[in-house]
Amino acid sequence: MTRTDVLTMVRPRVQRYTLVVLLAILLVLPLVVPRFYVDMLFQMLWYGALAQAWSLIGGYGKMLSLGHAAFVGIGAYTSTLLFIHFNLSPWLGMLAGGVVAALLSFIVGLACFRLSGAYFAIGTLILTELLRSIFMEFPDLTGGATGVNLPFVRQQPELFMEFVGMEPFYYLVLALALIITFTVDRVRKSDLGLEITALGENELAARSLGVNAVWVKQKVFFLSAFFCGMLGVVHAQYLMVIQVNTYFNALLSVTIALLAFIGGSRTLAGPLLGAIILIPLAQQLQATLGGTYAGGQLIIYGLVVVVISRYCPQGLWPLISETYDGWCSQTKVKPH
Amino acid sequence: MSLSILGQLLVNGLVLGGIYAVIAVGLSLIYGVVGFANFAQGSFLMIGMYFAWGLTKLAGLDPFLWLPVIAVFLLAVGWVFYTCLIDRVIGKPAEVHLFMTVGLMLVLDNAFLLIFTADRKFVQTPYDDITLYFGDISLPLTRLAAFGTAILVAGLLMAFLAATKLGRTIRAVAQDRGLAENLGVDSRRIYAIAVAIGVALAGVAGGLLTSFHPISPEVGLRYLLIAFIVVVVGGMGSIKGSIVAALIVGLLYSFGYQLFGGEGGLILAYLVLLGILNFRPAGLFGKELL
Repeated sequence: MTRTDVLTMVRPRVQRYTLVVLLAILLVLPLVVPRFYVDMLFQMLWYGALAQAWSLIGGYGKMLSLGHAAFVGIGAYTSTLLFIHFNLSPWLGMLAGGVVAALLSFIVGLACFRLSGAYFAIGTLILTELLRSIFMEFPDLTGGATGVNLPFVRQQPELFMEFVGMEPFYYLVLALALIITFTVDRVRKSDLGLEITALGENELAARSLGVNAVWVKQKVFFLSAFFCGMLGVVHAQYLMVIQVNTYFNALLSVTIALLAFIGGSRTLAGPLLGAIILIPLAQQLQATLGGTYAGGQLIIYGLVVVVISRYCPQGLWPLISETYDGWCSQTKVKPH
Repeated sequence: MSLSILGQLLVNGLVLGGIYAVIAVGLSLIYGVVGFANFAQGSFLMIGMYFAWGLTKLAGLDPFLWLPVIAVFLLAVGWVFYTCLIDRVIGKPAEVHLFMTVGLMLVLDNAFLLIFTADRKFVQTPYDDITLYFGDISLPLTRLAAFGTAILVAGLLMAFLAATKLGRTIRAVAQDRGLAENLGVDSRRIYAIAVAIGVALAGVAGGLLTSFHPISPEVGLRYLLIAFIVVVVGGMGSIKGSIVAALIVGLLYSFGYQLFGGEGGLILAYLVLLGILNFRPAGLFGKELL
């Protein structure tokens, strides 16, 4: 047996064990840590799931969207307004929010798919600002800067996604993060994944080989936006208040994108890794500096992203797995 | 709408546009020569504003007289920005430049927020409340001075690019880097100079704004977006395009604000931008380099 044979035998098993252990830790963790850390864990998984959804379009498709906050926001608003005006349960609202976000992605696609690189980033950024301005123009409906409070349901609040404590929200967002990760894994191994990766590498070559660029981008964008819309609904239910500036916020878009970039946006573990490293760090820092001051975490994000783009533009996960591979191939395997 | 209001809106829009022009040409110059969209450009403008505020507060004097000092300071900042960061990622994919400059923006904006808090600061001049009248049309002196200086700066930049040897070398690198290198041009040095000038222009724009605009860390992101709108409408990398587009966006903003109020001006500008991106993705003056 050669060294590589042994590695191919051992590696999947090691990976599987690591995953099981990680999942077990994530399941038990909120039960054993203080309240403050449950919130931190919720935020971590929420951002991780968003970054994972972003990586579909921004990582594999190399379309650097700086407008994903708009999908989160439109999802949150769709569900909340349906809840308030038509008493629709946010569980169904999650679907509705996802669908409306996917519809919005169609408009974004119409406006921005002809653009590439920095132009696409600027186009999506401006589109989010446009939506923010429009939402601010209708404060009767959207609550403007003060926001809308979600109603409290007295009977059977679980049917309306209202829980006592933060743990149920944590498990909900954990489930969503797993579903999104699983979907991204399926997509990137499918024909669609190959097509969007090809478009990201070289659009002209991919199109000349018969890839329908607009439709492929649109399909991937649908998925990405759908998930972000769903996550927006969960966040709105978690906070019980939605404000235009929380969601239609350039900094939220930027955070989603840079978490994926830092972890490695073309790997499955990367976007989650980015959130797992940065969100707790940022939250802890914010707690230390004092609640009112929001800039501290952004300085940390900024510093990390500058260093990463300077020294390992691939992101952290490729760096880690390469080191791991190198370490594996150095271990002596006795030839027979 | 009466004629005098129309005239007033026209004047307001053009004056605003003149200042947008200085903000945008720096961004456009950097994109045209080095080929990346600098998301930290708004933060350099903010630094220029705080620098002008600090100088005026410490040493008195007029914010306009400080402009050369601000320009030299930000020239140095731009040089450091290029050598420490951008130079190391030349030739890497667009996303690396994007995230690097976005990261720098986050660091700078929030560092200033930490140091100076979100409180708005003002620079006072002795001629603050002097307003000129042309018939029914009023124009504060500070704005007129800012507009005049903006036109002067834009003119100087165009003259520099057109008539000096260094300016022509910069344009040569923008048009064909490989050919310029074959003729003995050190393109990395030209990149550094272009980035330094671009950053200095942002600082000068910030200095111009201080005479009538409150200073706070959030101006960075706000003017970054405006600069992007202008540059994309005009065609990234085209200086002439940026100047024309700046005047258009200034007018749009002024009329939109009057017609729809509040966010209306911005909404109009955003919509026009998205429309232009769709029908002329390269902008009004796309392809034409510098």
